Amino acid sequence: MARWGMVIDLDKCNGCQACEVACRSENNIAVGGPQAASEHRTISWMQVRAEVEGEWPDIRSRFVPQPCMHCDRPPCTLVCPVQATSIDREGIVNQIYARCIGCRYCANACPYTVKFFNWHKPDHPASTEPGLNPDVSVRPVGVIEKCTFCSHRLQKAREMARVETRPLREQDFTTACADSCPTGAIVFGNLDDPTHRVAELSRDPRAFRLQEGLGTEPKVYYLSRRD
Amino acid sequence: MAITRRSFLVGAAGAGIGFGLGALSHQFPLASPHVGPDWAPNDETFVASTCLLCPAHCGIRVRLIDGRPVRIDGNPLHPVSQGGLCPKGRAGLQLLYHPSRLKGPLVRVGPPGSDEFKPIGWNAALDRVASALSSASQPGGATPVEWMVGDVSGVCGDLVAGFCGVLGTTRVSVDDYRDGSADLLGMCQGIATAPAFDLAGADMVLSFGAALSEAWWSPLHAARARDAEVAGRSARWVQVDTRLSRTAVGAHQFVAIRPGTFGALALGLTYVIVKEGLYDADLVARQVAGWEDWTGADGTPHVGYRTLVLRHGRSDEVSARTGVPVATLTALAKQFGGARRGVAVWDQGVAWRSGGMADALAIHALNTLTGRLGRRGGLLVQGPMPGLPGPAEQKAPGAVDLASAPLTATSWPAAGSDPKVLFLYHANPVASLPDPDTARQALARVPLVVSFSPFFDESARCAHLILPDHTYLERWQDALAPAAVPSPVWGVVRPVVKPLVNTRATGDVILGLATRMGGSAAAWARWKSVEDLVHERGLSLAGAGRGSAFVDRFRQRELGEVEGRGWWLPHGQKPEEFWQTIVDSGGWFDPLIDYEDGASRSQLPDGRVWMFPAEARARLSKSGRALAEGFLPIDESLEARDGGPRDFPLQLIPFRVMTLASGGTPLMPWLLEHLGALNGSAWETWIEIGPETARSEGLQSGQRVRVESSRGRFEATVRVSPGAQPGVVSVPYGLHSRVEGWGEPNGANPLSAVGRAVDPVSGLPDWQSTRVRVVRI
Amino acid sequence: MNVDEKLGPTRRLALGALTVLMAVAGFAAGRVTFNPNGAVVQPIQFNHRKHVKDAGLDCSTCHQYYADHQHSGLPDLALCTGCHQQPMTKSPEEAKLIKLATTAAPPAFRKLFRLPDHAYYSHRRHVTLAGLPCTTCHGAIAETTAPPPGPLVQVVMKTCLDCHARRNVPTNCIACHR
Repeated sequence: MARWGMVIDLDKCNGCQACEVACRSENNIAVGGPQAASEHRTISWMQVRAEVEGEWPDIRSRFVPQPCMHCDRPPCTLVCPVQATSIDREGIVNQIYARCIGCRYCANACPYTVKFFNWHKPDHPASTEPGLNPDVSVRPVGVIEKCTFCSHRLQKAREMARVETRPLREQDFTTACADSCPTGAIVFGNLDDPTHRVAELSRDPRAFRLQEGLGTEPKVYYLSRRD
Repeated sequence: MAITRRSFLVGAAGAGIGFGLGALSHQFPLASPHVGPDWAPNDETFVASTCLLCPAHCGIRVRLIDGRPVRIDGNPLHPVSQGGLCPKGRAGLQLLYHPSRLKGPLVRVGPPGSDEFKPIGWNAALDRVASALSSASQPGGATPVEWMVGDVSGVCGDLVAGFCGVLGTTRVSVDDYRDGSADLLGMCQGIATAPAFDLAGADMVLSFGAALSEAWWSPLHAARARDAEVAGRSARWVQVDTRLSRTAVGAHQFVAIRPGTFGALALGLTYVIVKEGLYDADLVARQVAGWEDWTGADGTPHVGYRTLVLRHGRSDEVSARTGVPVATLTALAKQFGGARRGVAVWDQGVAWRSGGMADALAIHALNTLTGRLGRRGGLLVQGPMPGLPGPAEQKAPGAVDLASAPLTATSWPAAGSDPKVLFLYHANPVASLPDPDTARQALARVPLVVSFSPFFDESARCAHLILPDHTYLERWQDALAPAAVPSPVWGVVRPVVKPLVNTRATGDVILGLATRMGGSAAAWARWKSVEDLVHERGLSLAGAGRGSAFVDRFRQRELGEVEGRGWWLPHGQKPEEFWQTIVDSGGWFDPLIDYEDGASRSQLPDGRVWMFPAEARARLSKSGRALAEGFLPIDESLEARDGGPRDFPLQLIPFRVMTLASGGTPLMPWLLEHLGALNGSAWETWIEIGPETARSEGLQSGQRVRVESSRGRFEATVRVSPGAQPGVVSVPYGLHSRVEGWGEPNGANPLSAVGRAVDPVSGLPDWQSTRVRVVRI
Repeated sequence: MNVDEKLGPTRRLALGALTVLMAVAGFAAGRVTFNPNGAVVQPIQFNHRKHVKDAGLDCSTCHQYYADHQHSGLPDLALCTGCHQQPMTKSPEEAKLIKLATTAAPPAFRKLFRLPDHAYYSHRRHVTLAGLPCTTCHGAIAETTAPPPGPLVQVVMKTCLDCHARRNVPTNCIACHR
């Protein structure tokens, strides 16, 4: 069984944010606007954060693109009272919008702050509706949403593989962010399949994960020459 | 209790009324359900085209579901962007589906300055413009028609230029991002085009403030090249910059430098390279002029650059001036001198400053000295594009050339008579110029202002007629790759979707106007449409005897090798087949980068590449700045402007952001949601200051402030960042334009404080000589 | 009957409560009966039995997409006129069809199943790959002589899950939710 994961090479990321916009386009993420931004309520499943340290002129800096970590031991699923979020058998931490009651326990439990609550009715002006991706549902107000590792693509990819009576190949299923990265910094695949690039990269000496001490066992690995 | 007649009747009446209300209740739903079309096959298709949102012109591949565009990706076959696409290119979808797009042509009904417009038919609108043009272009009138254009390329630029020829006007101003490097190459090498940088072949890229990962000529070319393996090891990218820019974060090394001292650093690097003997002395002796002392044709003796470098480039002096430690400077010079395939790059960050040409000359001298001209991984000149037929085919003397037309930012409105008709094409002067009122007044003086904007932007509001253009996803056009990439690419822009509203391609409108005017104008407009014109160009490429439709990377290399041996494999038997392959793949390119053609060495009569040629020295000496020797990039006057540091203690440096556009394009909400990745800014103009400046000025992150100079002011939100240098206020440019109706940012135009400063030497804007103070509001 | 005309407070309250109760019940009944989504009205009284059983047409003649698409597809009236260009019978519905098909915007057949956006169902996956017969979800639609106002088989999430469990097919959430 697959164990989907991601490796992000921080030495390659140049902070262009193509992944953020590709994710918004792929996953029908609504525009929050200035109001949401000022309340820190902008929804962005993928966020390029910048780490800037030091004092002028000796600055150390890097970009850290941050999607949901899809933890193997996710804290968010433990607190959900209605099992609207759970870890899938292939390691994807899902969010079932129709089940979510909007209690926001999971958003508070997440140490990576990558679960987003729809405080307002998602704003998709009528003229933009033809541009929505029909493969992803539009969320209603009052539910949590999050990065799904583009699991809707997995649904289609798996079906296509069966149509063509072949196993699922590495290039069949990838996320919109990995697809969009012009420097190839984001790699997606099956961590348990040694033929997949992520399996090799996740064992790279440069590899680390965010807040490893919490024991959440994230499946998003980062590569960096710096500690 | 028995059921009485009364209780039965009352109950039945209640039930009846309730039933009726229940039945009616569906007419007044409490929450409207998400009802799409009843069903759709959801058929997925992909169409290749070219992005027109910035001059890079990357290849795009649009995902369509049942014919509706739902995602824009990079075209993997495109030789430059290779499947990559910046966030702005992806957000083009929001331009197409923007709720505030104009639904059709509009005519002013209210007084000038009011927002009162009413719809008008296309024929009536065109008739009105054509008759105004006919009466305006009567002989005797001095240039009664004027054009103001933004980033237009390919046939659309040529149509404007050709139409100007037909109308007998040369009055055109352009809003583009030229950085003066074509001017510089003209003086040094006799080549009148901007240089190309072979970033993908370079093992060291030394960028002097060039926004390679941001608003550079082709950020995707740079993104693809940065991690390239060159000669078995990964390339080293060094960013010298005045602030911790995105490019600086993404580079392998960031070298902090004081504003306005890029050229001084280049001088200092040259000094070390000379002292260490790290340059190609033999090559310099054979091919370079201006290095040793020389005597001009008029007998004037000139001091060679070598002597000047040894005189002014001492490491301790340069270090004190630039703020770059001597050790860093020395190490950098040794790295660059020792690199096998290094290249020094600069852009507007260097050139858009009074005296910036001196800095660019010093940086270019580094490339010349170390023998990087025309070499793999060095500075090249883009191979020639086969001649394309079109409306500006014959270059008559005095004909309009958009590439050298005056910049709107520095020259508009021109002094003297006002035009009778003014066309605004991808131009929004009211928002993009420092002083909106001047722009509005100038527009109000013109009897007929025609805007082609697809949006009701600030300048369209001042027009008499708005003839909205299609978006680039709905029309035909072609687009050349910028000069900064090594080989020519001709991208085809094709409609990926039928026009969503009653708009019309401006190219077709121009042809229609010419036809209506009759006579020589009608004869000039011999094409049915822009599509016809692009088709004709595509067919002509079949006869070029080189190049190919876009192919995958392996095939690209293969074709390049084949062409290098003098062979050519046409990808179609008949011209129509050739054309169809070009359209399907997204465009045409020449796979061969010929490093041996000598195109980038020198085309001057003496066959030599000049360092600080006499012409440049003479021009710089008139800069009005206290430059060392009159022309060296050592400026003694930086602190002395605007009444000195007491009134205006800080230096303002506007920078350009990849996702923000110049004038014409409205802002896409996806891009505004996370605008400043480095400091978390969104939806508003911010200023970056360092912690030291914040302390001395008593400012904190998140405060709203007014930035004031002697010329003007703008408002912004403070972001304190360790990546900002003491005494400097950096501000993003590009949030000045807004379109009502969706995602309106709280933006400001920093040029309000910069004013109309122009570098007299290059004619380019001077963005970096403004002193300001920051006032809390 | 003076006593009855002046009601006591208890009776008055009871009568009021009854009225409200009846009004609520009536409201619910009215809402259900006149639910525009509840009953699907088709433009033509299409007779499945005649086309499938008598004429021997294959499902894919009209539902062109079921084998390799998510949706099965519904025919537009233009497809009908492929056979019914000239009247083949004396049916008044056929006459209506021929008349409707020539209008500028012919009405379309409407689907019976309303799948929420957040669930992924693919005919290709269930019919072509898993080999389920149409009747599993569509019941005896082929036997009908007039279009039914709603699905013949009520499919809810439990229907899916039960079937998946019986056939040992994944029941994880994101196999279907999206």
